[in-house]
Amino acid sequence: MRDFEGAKNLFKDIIDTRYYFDSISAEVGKNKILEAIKEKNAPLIFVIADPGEGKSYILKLTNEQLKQKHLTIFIDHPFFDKRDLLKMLYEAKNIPFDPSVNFNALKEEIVKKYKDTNHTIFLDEAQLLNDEQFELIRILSDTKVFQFVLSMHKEEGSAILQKKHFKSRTKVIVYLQSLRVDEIKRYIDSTLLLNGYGDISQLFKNTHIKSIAKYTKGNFRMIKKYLYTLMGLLAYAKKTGIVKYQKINNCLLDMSALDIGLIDDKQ
Amino acid sequence: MTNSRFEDLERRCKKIKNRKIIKFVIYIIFLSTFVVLLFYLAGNKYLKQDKVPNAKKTVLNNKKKIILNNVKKTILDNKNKKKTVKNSKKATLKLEPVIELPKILPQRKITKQAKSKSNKSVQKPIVVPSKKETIEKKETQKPAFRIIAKDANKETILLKNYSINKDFSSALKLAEYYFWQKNYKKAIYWSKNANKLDSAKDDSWIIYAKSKYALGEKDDAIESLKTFLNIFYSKRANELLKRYQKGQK
Repeated sequence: MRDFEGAKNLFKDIIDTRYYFDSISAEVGKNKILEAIKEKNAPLIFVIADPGEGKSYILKLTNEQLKQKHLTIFIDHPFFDKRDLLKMLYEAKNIPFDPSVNFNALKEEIVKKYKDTNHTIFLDEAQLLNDEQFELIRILSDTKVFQFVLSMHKEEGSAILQKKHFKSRTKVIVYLQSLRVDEIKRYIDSTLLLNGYGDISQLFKNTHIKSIAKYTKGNFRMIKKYLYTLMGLLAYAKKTGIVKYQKINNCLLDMSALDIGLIDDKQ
Repeated sequence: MTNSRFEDLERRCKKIKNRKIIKFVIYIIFLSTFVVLLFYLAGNKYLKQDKVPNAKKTVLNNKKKIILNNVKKTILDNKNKKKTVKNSKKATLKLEPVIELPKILPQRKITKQAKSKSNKSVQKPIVVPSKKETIEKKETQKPAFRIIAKDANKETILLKNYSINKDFSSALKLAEYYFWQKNYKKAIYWSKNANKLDSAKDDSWIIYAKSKYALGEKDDAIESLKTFLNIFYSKRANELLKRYQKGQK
């Protein structure tokens, strides 16, 4: 008996670093980041990709791997004041933060405290930072004490890299790519097989995978969302006894795409 | 997932499927129209190329015509062989009645007509000529008879000559003969025959061009001379071409 409801939960849009899918792009990106951190050859590392292509995932995964060896700070939301960043750095070292002290004094003290330690600061959604905050990151990275890993959207990221703060700085740029058709197939098969849903993975034909790739354009988040919807439809068909939709067919693929707004019937 | 949502998705999916079918049909129609149009245009272009011959094409066309003429000629030759033998034997015998008949036949017809029409206006043919008059008439007819007979002989001689020799000069003589007789179609026919036997000589081309020009097919005349001059040099042909291009005879 095919348990579509159970398979559906595998494709929920959550980041679980236990289930890492080693796409070529993700693997290359991850290795490049780890190598740059290990060798300390660049104080600024940029991870650039379109939304949903695994930037946050890669950042979290690297953070998970590194935090056992040295100090890491993961900021998954943009800070509103430049003092907030210093406060996070103080708290990570368990140093009391005194807001009454002026900014430059706080900065000099934190540089001294971090000077002899290995540490990496991960900053997700960095495209949301303003010029003042970027300037602070630039100043801290120039001390050669702090190492930042910043993830940004492709469109905004390219423009930010051209700004005076970073243009002439030594940096490593990692570009993440969308999944190819064969990678999508491997992702579906491995996810379903590893969780005991081999019978469902048998339903996917190459033509179906091509359709999924066409609709989702290889975007990892979209693929998960699409498969979640598809499994939901299959589960409903099974529950209500609609035999026609208990197997994957073109109409079911179109219905999934329609449901999550990848295609429109009003064109 | 609710029932209504599933049904709505199913309905929208069918709508998309129908749209895909329509798009496919339109695509096929468009493609087939395009292919048909392409073939039509290609066909037209081919026809146009045939209509406007360039130098090479006219040479090729002439060759084709010559081949066709050859086939016709062999058929005609077989007929001519029989005819020329008959003609040579009956030439002199036949010529007399041929010339005299036009004189006699109208008279017979007219007399019959005159009898049937009773007393209408007096017509000259009804008047029976006297013996003297007939003698006079015969005398006046003699030179005409001789010329025609002479010409008829010349034609048969030339045809016979060609049937024996089948060379360029005998074909050209026939072409020249018909040209001076103002039988331009035959002149064209024989100039083509001569051309087939030796296309490097300008005489046959000139006769052909002159005949065409005389028939009012000036463009053909000019085109044929140009074709010849593209391959060979001929002062006469060149002068003739210049004259024709200026619109002179």
